[in-house]
Amino acid sequence: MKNKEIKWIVSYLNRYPILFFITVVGSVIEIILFSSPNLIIGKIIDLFVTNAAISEIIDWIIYLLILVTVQAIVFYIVAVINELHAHRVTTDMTADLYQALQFRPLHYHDGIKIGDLMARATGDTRAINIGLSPAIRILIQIATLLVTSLAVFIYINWKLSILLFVSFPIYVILVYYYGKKLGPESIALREVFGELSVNSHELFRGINELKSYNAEKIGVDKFSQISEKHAGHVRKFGMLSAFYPPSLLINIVLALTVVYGVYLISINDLSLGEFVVFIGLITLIQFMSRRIKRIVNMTVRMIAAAQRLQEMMEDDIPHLKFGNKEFTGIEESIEFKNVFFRYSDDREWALKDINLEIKKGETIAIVGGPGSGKSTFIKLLLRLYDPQQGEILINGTKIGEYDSNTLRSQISSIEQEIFLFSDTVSGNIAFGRPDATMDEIIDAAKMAKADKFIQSFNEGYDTLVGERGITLSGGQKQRIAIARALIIDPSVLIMDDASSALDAETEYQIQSAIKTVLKTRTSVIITHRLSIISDSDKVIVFDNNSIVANGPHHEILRTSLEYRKLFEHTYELPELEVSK
Amino acid sequence: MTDISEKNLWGQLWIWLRDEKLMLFFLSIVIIANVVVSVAGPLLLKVALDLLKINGPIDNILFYSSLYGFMLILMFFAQMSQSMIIAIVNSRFIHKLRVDAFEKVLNNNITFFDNAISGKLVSRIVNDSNELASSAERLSNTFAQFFVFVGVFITMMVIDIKLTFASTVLVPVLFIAVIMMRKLQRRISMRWRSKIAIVNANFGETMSSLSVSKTFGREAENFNKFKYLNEETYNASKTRALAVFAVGPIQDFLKHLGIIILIYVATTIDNISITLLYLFILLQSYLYSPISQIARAYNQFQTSFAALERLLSIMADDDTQEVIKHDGLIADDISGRIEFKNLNFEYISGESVLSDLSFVIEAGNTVALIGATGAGKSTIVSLLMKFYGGYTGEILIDNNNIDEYNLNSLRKNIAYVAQDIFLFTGTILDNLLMAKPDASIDDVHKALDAVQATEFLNTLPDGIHTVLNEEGANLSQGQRQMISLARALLADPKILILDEFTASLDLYTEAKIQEGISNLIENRTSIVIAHRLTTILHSDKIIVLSDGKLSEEGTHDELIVKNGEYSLLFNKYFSFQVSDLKMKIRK
Repeated sequence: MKNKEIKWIVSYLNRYPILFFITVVGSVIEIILFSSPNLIIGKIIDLFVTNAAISEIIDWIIYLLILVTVQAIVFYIVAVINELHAHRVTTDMTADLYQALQFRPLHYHDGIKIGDLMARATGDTRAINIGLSPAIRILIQIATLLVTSLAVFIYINWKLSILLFVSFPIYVILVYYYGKKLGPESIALREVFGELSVNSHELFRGINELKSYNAEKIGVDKFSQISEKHAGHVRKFGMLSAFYPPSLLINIVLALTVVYGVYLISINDLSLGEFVVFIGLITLIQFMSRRIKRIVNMTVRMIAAAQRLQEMMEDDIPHLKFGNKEFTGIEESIEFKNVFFRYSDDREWALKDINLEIKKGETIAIVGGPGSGKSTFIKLLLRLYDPQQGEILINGTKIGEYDSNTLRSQISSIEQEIFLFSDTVSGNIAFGRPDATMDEIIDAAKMAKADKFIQSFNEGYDTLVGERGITLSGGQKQRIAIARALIIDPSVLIMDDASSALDAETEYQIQSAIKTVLKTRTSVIITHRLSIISDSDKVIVFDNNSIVANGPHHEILRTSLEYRKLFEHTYELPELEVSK
Repeated sequence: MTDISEKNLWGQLWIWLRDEKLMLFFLSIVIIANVVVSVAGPLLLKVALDLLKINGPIDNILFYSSLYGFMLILMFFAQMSQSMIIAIVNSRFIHKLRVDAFEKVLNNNITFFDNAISGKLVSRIVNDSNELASSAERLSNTFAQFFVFVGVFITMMVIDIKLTFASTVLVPVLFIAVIMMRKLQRRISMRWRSKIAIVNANFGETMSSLSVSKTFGREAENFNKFKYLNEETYNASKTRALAVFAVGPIQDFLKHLGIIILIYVATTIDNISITLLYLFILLQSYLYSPISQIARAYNQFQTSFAALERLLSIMADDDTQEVIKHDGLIADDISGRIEFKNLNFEYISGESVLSDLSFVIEAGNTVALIGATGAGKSTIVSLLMKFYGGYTGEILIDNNNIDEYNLNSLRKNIAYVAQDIFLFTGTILDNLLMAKPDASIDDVHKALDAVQATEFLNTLPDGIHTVLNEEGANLSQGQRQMISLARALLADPKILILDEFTASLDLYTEAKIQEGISNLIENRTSIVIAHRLTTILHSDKIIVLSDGKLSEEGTHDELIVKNGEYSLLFNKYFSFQVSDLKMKIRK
């Protein structure tokens, strides 16, 4: 079960075989050097006991000094190489993840929260980094230490080593079960902590609601409940960490070794120096063993992280296929013929039997309620998805036969939720055409009625926007997005008009900007602004995932009951005409 | 933020810990036990080895060595109990502290929340308390370890001063080395972390803007930029690795060097007892092992102290706490007449937001407030809700100053429906009951019917028991609006405030919701902040604000005839919203 993850990690490690080799071999050498001083100290003790010449003892002290110096140097080199290797590998993983996600079709992303993606990119790669350095290195060292100590013990006195030999499998079992118990508990602890943050964040963000409904107490109770749950997990985790059975086992082994060792000395089967070596090595094992707790935890996390990352990067999602026909713009029309579409097989149709023709130069206004299918319609038009049934033709050719670059450079869109990048204003406007000149950028901004407010910023077009820059109002963002779409001078402009609250003057500015832009090219706009609707060539009304009315505003206002419903509450409407 | 004196800080700490006296008592016993067994063990072993040297009775030798073994096992249990007690006390401490802080913060007025970033508050209350708890846990364990250190040191001094000196000469060197290395590490890690933060930001940005990148065909450029930033983190990690991983080898080397010095000094002493040397080798490990822990403790102490200080400072400010006025007037029977008298207000001193503003809203009327962004519309509403104080002039409800009312009862009778609807995680029902916890299911359904929400609720498999995601993200904007209207209706307030909340709705939803609004404003005093003509024409009176001053008031027809600011606004902007359809005007 875990093999797959380990293989995956190893395949990354193998990309850098030299670093990998140094890490593994170096770790083994380093721990042997680390445990060797015990042997020399044992030797020196025996020299003292036999009243050897001081000069001989001094010789051994010098050997010891050389040994510990070499050990420190080797330790440093191995640890640094190990860390670099781990970093190299996780840096690669992050890039691969980025690439894999970016090229996924959008319907893959529809079901995934950005927060989860971020957790993969930041938390999981870090977990793998820590799992590889130092966790794996220390695991290798503990295994080496156990094996070499056992060899040394058998060499010095096989009787005394029996105890260690017997306890070895018990030790492994204890560590295994401990890891199994601690792993889920540490995951639970982190999850509940996340819950606590999310919860308090939410309560603060809703402070106006809490206060206006006098619901502060409800808020405190809710917080207190989760806080108590978290405290319970903190306690449980603390208790579990405190009781570490492998450590108890080693203390028992040490105790028995001392008693039996002292007995062996008394019958002259063991020298004091050898006794010191035994005690020293077991103490060393105990020292390393205390770290196993953390190491096991790190390793468990690494495996879990690898599993999630691997799943996310596995490529079993069909990509959209593009043809290689060059798209040079609308010559005749865009046509939807009996189009059916759904986001996945287990969901309802998001669009049912759509038939529509958009002629070159026309302005089409789309209206409809939430979930009526109007946004999906636009996504198909942009070819972010393919319909399951029916076809979409541009100039009589299937949309799938055009190549993606020319298609996308000719069809531009302005989304409802405008996303601006952490870049300068001019960088954002030139996003689709990085080679645009400053004059072109300013022209686009002027057309979008954005030039005036951009000039009012201290740094004008060089002003930083986005997370690290200034905060723009909804109306300002929208106008920058309009400029961004205009600068690539698309043949078709598609716009999902944001319905944010703007004051009357900004609203006026935006409406005039939109109207100017629409006039010059084939355009499709989802909007609620009546003046734009009545200016358009055709209005398409979506309801319940189908088109229920299609025609000029004044015409369908007289003929479509569905369309009239939108206005009858507020406006005086012309008489209803029974359709022909 | 207020500065906390050190005395207050300890005092506050004690308030949270005073219920734990019994636990703290146990803890001190366990710590003492730990010191005793740590020192006694090696001493007992020495006795056994000494007896061995003079060929003492084998029974005694085995007895003393068994006692040593027994101490080893006791030591495990002493350390275990110590960590367990610390974990228990710690978990209760963190919970109490956190809830106290949260409650105190929540009782602040809105000015406080305007000036605070909610992410920062969370970071104070949740992260800082967690930071405090985990470093307190480590600190307490280190503190206990420190007693062992002192106990061992004293024992060594009593036995042999020269060997003690030889054993401990490198302790301060190790101590200083660790502290200095940590400092260096922190500085170098900071650079690395900032590179990581840049990569994360870029990653998040790309993933949240994929559809933009795809429509503009920018994937390859994105990846090149990301790759460059990503490699930067690897480059930064090189220097970091060199600094971070120097500590281990230095520690190892100094520890080993300590033993070498001890043995070397032993060779200079005539007839040194070998068991004494061995005892010192054993005891020495008790001195060196906790050193890096103790060196780190200084840092942890600083961090946790800073975390505690931050936590307390957000709790310390009493100026921003709200005053409920429990003996104030109860607003349940008010008619809803509102009057603003000569009101002046500024958020930041010197920057006037409202100046000399006076107007009357008769009970049961609907009034539209219009004016450009920043004209003061939302401020008027916030002052009425008593979200802010510190104005001059008077706000009267039913001819009583609003300060005379009990705050909770006042807010209960004013419902505020904002443009950005905030729904809490939990079911739709939970969100509705927030307004009136004791409402019956019938009341709830009546309210939902009245705002036309029943139709869409019926399409949800779980109806009103549907669990909402964060901020109600699984509902559409219009659906959230309907829920919030129903919530307001359920509160059954005398005064209703609608903060231009149809502005972000599409035509379709707006048409649907109009009916619900008509039901809601019936028999209530309503204040509507409006940008849209549709809303304005439905009101009894229009109040036009300009730069915090009352510019005009009257009905639509009166103001058009007057040919003032309203008629200007109407002709330039509002008429633009309607095309050639004629609007129904409320009589």
